[in-house]
Amino acid sequence: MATQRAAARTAPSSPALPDDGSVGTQPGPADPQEGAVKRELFKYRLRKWLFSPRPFLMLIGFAAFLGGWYLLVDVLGVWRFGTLPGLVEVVTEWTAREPAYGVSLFTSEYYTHIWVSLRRILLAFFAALALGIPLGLFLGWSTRFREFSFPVFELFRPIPILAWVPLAIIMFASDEAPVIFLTFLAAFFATALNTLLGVQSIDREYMRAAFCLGSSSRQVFRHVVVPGALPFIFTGLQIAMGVAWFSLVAGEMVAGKFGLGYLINSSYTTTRYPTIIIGMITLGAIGFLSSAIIRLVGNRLMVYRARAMA
Amino acid sequence: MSTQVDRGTDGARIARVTDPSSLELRGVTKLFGEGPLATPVVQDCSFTLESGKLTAMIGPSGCGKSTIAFLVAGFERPTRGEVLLDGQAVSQPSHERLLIFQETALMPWLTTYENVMFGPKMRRAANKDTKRRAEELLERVGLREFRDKYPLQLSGGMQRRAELARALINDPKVMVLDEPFRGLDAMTRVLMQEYYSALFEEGGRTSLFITTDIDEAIFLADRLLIMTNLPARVREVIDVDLPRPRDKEEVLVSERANEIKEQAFDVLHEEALKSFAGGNKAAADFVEAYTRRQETTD
Repeated sequence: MATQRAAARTAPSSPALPDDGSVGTQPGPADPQEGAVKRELFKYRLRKWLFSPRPFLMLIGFAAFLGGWYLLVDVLGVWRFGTLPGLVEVVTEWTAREPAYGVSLFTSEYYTHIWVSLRRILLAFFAALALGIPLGLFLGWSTRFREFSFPVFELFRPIPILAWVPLAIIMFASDEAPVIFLTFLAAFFATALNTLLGVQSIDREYMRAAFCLGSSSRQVFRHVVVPGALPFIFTGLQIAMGVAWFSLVAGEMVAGKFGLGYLINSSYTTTRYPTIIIGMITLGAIGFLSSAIIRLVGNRLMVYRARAMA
Repeated sequence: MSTQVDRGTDGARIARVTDPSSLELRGVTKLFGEGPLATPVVQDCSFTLESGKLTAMIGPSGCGKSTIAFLVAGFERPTRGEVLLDGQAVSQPSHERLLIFQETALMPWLTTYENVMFGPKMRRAANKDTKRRAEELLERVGLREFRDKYPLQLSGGMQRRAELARALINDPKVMVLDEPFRGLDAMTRVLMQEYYSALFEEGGRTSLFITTDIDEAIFLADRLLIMTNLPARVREVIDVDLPRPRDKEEVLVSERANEIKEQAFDVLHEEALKSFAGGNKAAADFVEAYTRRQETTD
């Protein structure tokens, strides 16, 4: 054993068995092969997924939905379904080079609406993140700060976003700012509250251990409170993104020029019904993507959680 | 079993403490509860952790042992009395008095190595020297291969060992371990006791080891403090004059160890009886176990 130890010391990267006979995971691959292993693993998982029933079940699900739509609206037109735009009509409109109602994949107007909505979401979301996370962290960290600001926070939080619409329009005399403000507000409350819960969820032992190891209060905040609250913060950001889209559409319907919510509402008032459906499906797809991106960033920042589950 | 623990070559051993400290509790009382409802959890408690010795504190669970650990660590201040480290009163947490907690308190978001380096980093002492020591300590506790793993990827025993390394790198004057091997399965627990015993014998660092397990206490300690039921006070001090280095198998069958064990059991039994008479249901289990034990040994 002594020689093995000596050998291990001179060649730090040489593999050696754990000397206590304990059962554990594979030694951490810190070598350049790691990338290759990851790619192989990705290929393996992709193949496994493709040859499992899951992609087919997913396709069946979509097919059933689209088939049901086609059957109820286009073919049968039973009950009130006859009043809705049919599948064929929507798909033709969406993919037409010269759409009957003015908006399709080939018109710049479509992308203007998407871009305007996205810009508002991003501005509002990052403002909510920049203000909500620090507020939540301080609410959780300082009892005194919480005592004077949390009651006010809790009074404003339950006010439905739609109730803010008149005030937002009065306060911001432009087309853009009221919508961004409403979107921000919804995301802000969700972010701040979840960050606060995140701080409160941290096991006290971590803070005690950090103090024991010689940390100052500031260091405990930076090295224990922030990383400890991160899982809740990302849950909060997921929720925030959801309510942000909700508020955005509500805001665009009442106060906006351009944007997907505006597109849906204006298509309704001008009876361009297929365009409503195009706007809705676009919202669904972008909303799904934005949540997925947050999840991805979260997994990148919290490698330890992903590893523990693997 | 004992052969599994490698006591290490000189290179892998941890450095011996040259001038071990001593810690004293002098007439410490700690009240808990609101105003008029405040009751003592620790009352008029005095003892000394002698320099370079391992003192084990044993007593029924819920008797205030953890409060004593918090008082020594500086998380709580005594209502009356003093905690003195080398004659200096203790007032706040410091790396000089390191506490190892019941369940693991490794930061889950840091790797094993980053956890070990946490103390030096906080004290702005993360230099070549401490980095090398971190690697050595990880090697010593058999975690070199696991330096880049996160705590949730480690087994329970590995987590406790990582925690020992995280504490030792700070060269604490006193180490307090509050039931550190609680929640481990029996095999791992024995392994950990041997690991810890070897580490202690190498370093000779003044330590307080809190436990509810008599065998564990006798195997590890130079001296036993048997505590009363709530409020906690030292009821009896027993010197464990067994030779070191100790081998778990040998120690547990030795006659002297058995004498100490009987002595400790008798004191704990008396305490349990008193506590049971006072309405503590938890003590009933101990009383019953003690009675059964007497029946089988007689």
